[in-house]
Parts: sequence; structure tokens; C-alpha cells
Amino acid sequence: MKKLWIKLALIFGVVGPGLITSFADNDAGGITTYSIAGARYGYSLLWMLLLITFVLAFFQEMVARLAAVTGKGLSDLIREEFGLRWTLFAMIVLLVANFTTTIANFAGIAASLEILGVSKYISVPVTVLALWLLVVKGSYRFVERFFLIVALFFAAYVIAGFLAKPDWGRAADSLVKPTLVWKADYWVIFIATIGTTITPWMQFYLQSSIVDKGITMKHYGYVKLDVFVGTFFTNFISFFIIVTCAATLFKAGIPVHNAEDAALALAPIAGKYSSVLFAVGLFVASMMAASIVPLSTSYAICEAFGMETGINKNFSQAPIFFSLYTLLLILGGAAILIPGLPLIKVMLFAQTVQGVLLPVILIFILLLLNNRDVMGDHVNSKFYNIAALIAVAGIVLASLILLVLTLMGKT
Amino acid sequence: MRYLSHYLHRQVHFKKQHLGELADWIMNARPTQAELAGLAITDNDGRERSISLNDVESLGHRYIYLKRNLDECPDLAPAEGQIRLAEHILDKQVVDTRKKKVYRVNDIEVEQEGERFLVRWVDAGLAGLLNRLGLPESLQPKSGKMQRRIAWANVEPLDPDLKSSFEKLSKLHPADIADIVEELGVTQGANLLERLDDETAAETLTEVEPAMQSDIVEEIKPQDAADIIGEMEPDDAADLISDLPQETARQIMNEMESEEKAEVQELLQYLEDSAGGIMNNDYLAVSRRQTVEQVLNKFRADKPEPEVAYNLIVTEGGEKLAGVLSLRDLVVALPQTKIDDLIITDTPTVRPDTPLSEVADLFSKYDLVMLPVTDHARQVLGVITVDDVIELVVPEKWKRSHRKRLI
Repeated sequence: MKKLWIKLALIFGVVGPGLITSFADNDAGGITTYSIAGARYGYSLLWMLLLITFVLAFFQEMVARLAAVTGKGLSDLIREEFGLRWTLFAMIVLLVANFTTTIANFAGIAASLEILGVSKYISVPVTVLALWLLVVKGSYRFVERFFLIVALFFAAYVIAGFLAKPDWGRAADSLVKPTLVWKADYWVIFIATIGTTITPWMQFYLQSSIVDKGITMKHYGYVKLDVFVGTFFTNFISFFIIVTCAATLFKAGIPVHNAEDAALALAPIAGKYSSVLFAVGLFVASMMAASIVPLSTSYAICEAFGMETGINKNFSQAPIFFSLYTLLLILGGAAILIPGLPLIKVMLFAQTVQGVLLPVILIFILLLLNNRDVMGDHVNSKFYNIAALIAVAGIVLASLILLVLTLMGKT
Repeated sequence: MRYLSHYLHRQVHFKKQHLGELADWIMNARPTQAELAGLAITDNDGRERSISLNDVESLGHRYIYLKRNLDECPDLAPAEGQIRLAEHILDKQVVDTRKKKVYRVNDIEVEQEGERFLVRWVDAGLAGLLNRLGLPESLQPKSGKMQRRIAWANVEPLDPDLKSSFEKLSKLHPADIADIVEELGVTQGANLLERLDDETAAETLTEVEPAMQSDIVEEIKPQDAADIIGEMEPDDAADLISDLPQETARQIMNEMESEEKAEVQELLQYLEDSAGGIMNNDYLAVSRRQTVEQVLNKFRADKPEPEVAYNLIVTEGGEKLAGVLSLRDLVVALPQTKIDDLIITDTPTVRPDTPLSEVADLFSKYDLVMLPVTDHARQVLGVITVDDVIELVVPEKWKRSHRKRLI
């Protein structure tokens, strides 16, 4: 009996980083991208989601292995193995990607509260202040609990999905049958879907949380389980978002231009509660990511350059860490307050930036996983490398196609 | 002032001939200073060669001239205490043994003193960072918080490839080393502990927060872990072992020496939150019939740990508790005095199942430094010392380490 108890405790001790990372992954940009994918192209992008689930699981496993073997953060490893200049380059990439993501998440906060009738000029400053207080003044335990409770709200999407009564047969069919449309808009959605599902910041975040939990190769079986379960969950929720929008907006031929459209359009079709659910889901998801992404950026950058980090420290003990976090929140929020800013385009743009910058970070990760000095006997196998290279090449190719189609004006 | 980064990748010449570029500085590192012994050069074919400083004509930060062609220079023999600055120090983590903290090295300040090149400081601040990225000197911050220079005498490299003995680090208080271990995390922390001597490692491990202790031990090979745990106080060792997964605990116990193993096993049977859970069974007991001189001799021979040395257990008829004896009374008494005349017989005692709150109350009420634990027949089972009680009463919040963070 005691043995089983210990085993369960161990599972719960180890499971978590992968799961939380995955939940935070379905942020404002993610929800918007999936909604648009469903609204404009119905079930037809679902095959992409399935494919991406495997690619995501694959890369998250590699990052988890890297973390468990080395016990070091990703930016620490990049610094130690590639030197200062490459670190600077990687950090600039991360900063650009994460800053656009932060803007996107404030766009999500603004949009979701506008659905519920709150002006963005009130909602954004208030949430910036709330998130700032949460991290700068709050304790570690409080912040952790906040995120865990927030994660529960993701059930909202699954409920909305069932309320919308989708065509399950067609959904299942599209999941395994690839379709392509040669329009730039389709490729924007395509890359945005990659960009929102596999993000640069996730790699840093997952690695740090595994290192922080003190998880080593001894418990690697559980780590793998956690990562795979997390990957499944994030895409399980993405699936419901696409399906909901396909069953309602696409079927009714309603084009989505902003998040209010997406939420309000659901009301007459799927009942008034589904738009409230949509708004609540979007809000909590955006809140979670609007805090985690700047936080993980501050951690990554400060670690790379050897500066103090930690939310249990105060402003004077870790000045650059807190300044960076504060700055990302304020600038991210301020960008949303620009009058007439097309929120949904901002969110989509952020995902595209992430999709285009992602290969840079993935290549660093691949190089580290092939370095025997770093990984010892746990270096990537040949199969792994080939599969990973195909995935990276696919992402690069998709980015290039987007570029060409945009230049040709085929929107 | 010159930085190592000014020299790295500079061209190496002999007369007008380009031979390659500078890859690294090879140093003879001693605790107080590091002196350049040779250079590592990547030749035109991409191979790395190590040469002695004797073969270097001039070492400038633009060009490096050799006295002869690279092929004619003999290889620099690896020697003990040799380190490579770029490979082992630059961009890596080091401990500042004065501030007792871990820093990442941004650059290394080098200095020419006649013919010799010395490392004086390691830079871990913003100034070194900006310099490294090529910011002109006039734009670099000069003073204040932006600078963080660590004197070489206080630098302890942490690079796991370096088989260093942690000469400087080992001199720190184990509690300070424990903070560094916590900062480094499980994998690197375990790595550091393994390279300390067993006694220092044991004292350090005792000071590491309990949740991390077991994770670290799981990372260490069972034999090494057994050596370290064998050096710990039996009560601390028992606490640690009871936190380990059964399989790991069994492996480590198998590797332990029989005497230490027996002490730990005896303590493992008690509940963690009772007097038995914090008591120690490695203490000094003397008979009430002995003299001061005899006891002092025994004391000298046994060399008890400081925690259990302030008060001695006095027994009669084998293991039965007669009372306690303070070290102070023992030392000030004449050699022929009988222990019987010195013992305190009305000392409080507890049973192994006494709750911890009661134990703490007794310590506070009677100003104790040690409390005997006995069974119903007054047989001594162990002692509780004041350091273990302080652990109990210091609020959790104080102990909670700064290591915890959000991600």
C-alpha cells in the first residue's frame, strides 16, 4: 500500500511542467488562430493539427531530455556551448517573438472583455497592474495556485465544442485527410497554427520548469509521460476550438474579423452561453500567457547573461529581472491601447512571427541534443535527428511559401 | 586593462607567415593567482596545438608572434592544476567564495607584468558583458552596480570537466556551500558534492533543504552516497534515508559500513515527528563510578562530535540512565573527583514517542543543550541535541530557500 502511495506521489511530483506548459500554450493567439482556422476553412485544417501534435510531442520530449540530463536552463546551455554572441542572437530572437506574443495576449484580454462589455482602455491597464502585482508582490505559492486554477477554465472550450453540435464524422475524417489551399491567407493560418502550437518560449519555459523541479533522468519515464499527456491535452483543446468554429461560423458562412465576431457569432447558433464561455476562456488563457511569457523571457535573458532572477526576490535584489518583466507588461499593454488597432490581425501577426523565428531556436536545441559532451549517452538517435530535421525543414518551407505568396499578392 | 576576449581568435604569425589563430590561454592556476603557461592555437588545417609560452615572441591583442614555426614548437605537456581560460572559465559558472554566490563569467581581466601574464579578476558584471559584445570603451559603464569583478583568489571554477579539488570552496562553512548547491540545482549540485571530500560533503548535505537532499542523493552513485551519508549524524542520515525511494535506500544501506548502518537502522524505526525521529544515537556515555581523569581520557580518545560534547550521558548498571554531566563541570573538577559527585540526576528525559512540541518546550523551559531519550526502564536510547530543536522551532518561512521560483 505504501509503495503505491509513494509511486503516486512521485507521479504527481514529476507531472506538471509539461502539463502547465501545454495549457499556457493555448493562449490568446492560439485560440484566435484556431478560431479563424475553423471559421474560414472548416474542418479542413484538422489534419495539420494532428501532424503538429506529433511534431510538438517530439520536440518537447527532446527539450525535456535535455533538461533532465543537464539540469541546466536552455539559455545557460546556449551560452556555455555557443558563446556570448550566439546567445545574444538567440535572446534577441526570443525577445522579438515573446514581445509580439505578449502584445497578442493583451489583445486577447482586451477582446474578451470587450465581448463582456468592458472597454479596453479600462481592462488593459487594470490587468497590466494586476499581473505586475501578482509577480512582483505576490509569493511563489500564490502565483503557482493562480495558474493551476486558471488552467481549469480550459474546460470551457470542451463544453462549447459539445454545445455547438459539430459533425463528428467529418471532423474525424479531416483529421487524417490532408488538404491544401494555394492562397496566402491559408498559409498565414497554416504557419500561425505551427507558430502558436510550437513556440520558442515554450522550449525555454519547459526546460526551466523541469530543471526547477529537480527532475533528473532517474524519473525520465514520468517526464516523458507528462510531456506526452500535456501535448495531447493542448491539442485536444485546440481540436475543440477548431471544431466549434467550423460547426458554427464556417457552416453559417460568417467571416471572422475580430474576436468579438468569433464570440458573438456563436451566440445565435450555439446558444448565448457559448459566447460567454468563449470570452471567459479567451480571458483566462490570455491572462495566464500574458504573465508567463514575459516572466519566462525575463528568466531566460537574465540567466543567459548571468543576472539575478527569481520572483521570491525583490526589485533591488534582481533589478534587471523585474525591470524586464515590468517593461514587457507595460509596453505590451500600451501597444493595445493604440486607437483603431486591429486586435485579431495583431494576434495573427504574433503567431506568424513565432512560426518564422521558431526554426532558429529549434536548431539550437537540435545541436545541443547531438553534442555528446552535453548529452552523454542520451544524445539524439539518427531516427530522431532525421525526423526533427524534416520537421524543421517543413516549418522553414511553410514560412517561405507564405513569403512568396504574399509577394505575389495572392491573398 | 585587457580582457581575454581581446586576445582570442587573434592571428598567430611567425615572421610574415600566418600560422593560425589563438584558441585559448593555458594557465598554471594556483589558489591565489593564475599565470599564463602556454597558448592553444588552431592551425591553418583546423587542428589544435598547445605550445609553451617560451615559444612566444610577443603576445599582442592584434597579432601574436612566435619564435619559431609551429611545427618546430614542442607540445606543451599537460600538468596538474592547468586550466584553460576560454574552455573552463569563460561563459561558465564560478563561485565567488567571498560573496558565497554563483556567477557566470562574462570576461576575464588579464594583466602583463614584465614577461608574465596574470589573471587578476574575473568579470561577471554588465561592463564585461558589453565589452565582450564590442561596445567601445568610452561607452562602457565605469562604476557602481554595473561592475562585478571577482578577484582570482576568490574564484572557484565549477566546470565539471575540470578535475579540481575545490580548494577554496571547501573552506566555506557547509551551510554556505549548501546554499550554493541549492542555487545550482539537483544535477549540478550532486556533481559538486561528489567532488568534495566525504566529510565536507556530509556536512553540506545536512544543510541542504530536505526536499532537495533526496533528489541529490538519487543522482549520486550508491557507493559514493553511502560514504557521504556514513559521515552524517545518524539522526540526519536516518531522516534522509527514510525520504529516499525504497530501492535507492536499500542500495545505499547495503554499501554502508556495518556500524554506521546499525545506528541508522535503529533510528529508522521511530516516527519522524516524535522525539525518536530527531534523536541521535552516536553519543558519549560514561559510568558514574569513573573518575574525572578517566572520563577526560575517554573523551580524548572518542572525540565526540561537537553537538553531543557539551553534556555527557552518565549510566549505571549498563545502559541505565543515572544522569547527565556537563563538560564544564568535568573540565573544572580535579582529576581524582568521582563522576558521582558531579552528575545532575534530576535532568528531564523523554520517551521516543514524545511529541516534538513537548521536546521543544522542555528545551526552552530548562535551557537545555541536550536531552536524553530513554525507554520505560530508563535505558538510554539516544540524545536530542539543541541544534535539532532549533531546526524545529525556526519558522518554515525562514528556511524556505530562495531557490524556489515560478518556472
